Amino acid sequence: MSIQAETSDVQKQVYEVIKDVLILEDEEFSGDKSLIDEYDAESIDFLDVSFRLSRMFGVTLFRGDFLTKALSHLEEDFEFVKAGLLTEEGIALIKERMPEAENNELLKVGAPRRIMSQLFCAEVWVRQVNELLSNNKMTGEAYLEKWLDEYKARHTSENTSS
Amino acid sequence: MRSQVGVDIVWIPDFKRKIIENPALLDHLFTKLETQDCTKLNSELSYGSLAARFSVKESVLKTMEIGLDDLGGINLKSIEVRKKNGGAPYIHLADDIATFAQEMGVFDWSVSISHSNEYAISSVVGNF
Repeated sequence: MSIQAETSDVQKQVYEVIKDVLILEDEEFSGDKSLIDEYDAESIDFLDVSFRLSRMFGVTLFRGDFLTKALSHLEEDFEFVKAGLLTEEGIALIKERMPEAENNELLKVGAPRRIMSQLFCAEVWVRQVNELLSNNKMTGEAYLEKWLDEYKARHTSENTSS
Repeated sequence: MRSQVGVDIVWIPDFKRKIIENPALLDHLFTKLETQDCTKLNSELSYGSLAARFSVKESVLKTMEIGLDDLGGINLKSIEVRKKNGGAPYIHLADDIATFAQEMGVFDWSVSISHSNEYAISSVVGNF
């Protein structure tokens, strides 16, 4: 099976789980829509989906908000949030980590960091599952730390060279 | 001293459906003691009581301003609803969430829960 076919298969399975949990018909579901704003997803829905996907794919998804993790992991190097509001660096980080949200109107400098949950769409889960599957089922926690280290290396070298 | 309140409401039919469709979720969300406390004499689960306990877990998180996007990171079984001899509920925290509450300076919790056929609600007050 090609990587493209596998990726498509993961997407299909993730979509099915989400539609099942949120009781959505095919025609009303779209992978890039906010699960909270468009489909009224609640906290137990997030727990349910996350739990089902973990069991279905045999992966340990990252538990928690990646921005919180980024703040604790890279707090000395970047200022992602200031007084509870997203900075330019914060927006850049989110766009790089969550390309699905790149065109979301909520994502702008000065937005409260609480908008993170509203950016969550089905494609975020598809990406996360694919990331772990293509990294030998590394845990979500370990993958995110690796990703943040790479982010720091990328952006520190950019700053140094500019 | 200051206090912070957290409230939550759960629609029981939806909650019940999720547990029935995905029974493993029960063990994912509740401790054995909680499940035992929510089991009727005829061995059936009281989904209203379970929903109320789930609601308490959410209220506790709200009290500490832990949001939806942090939820995946928390083992909800670490927030346990226990019953006093008279039946009144109280909150027992364990693991990371207990440490977090301690770091935040929460030294005492008050909780009240109720449910009808359709809705379960809870109100939690954390005293700092």
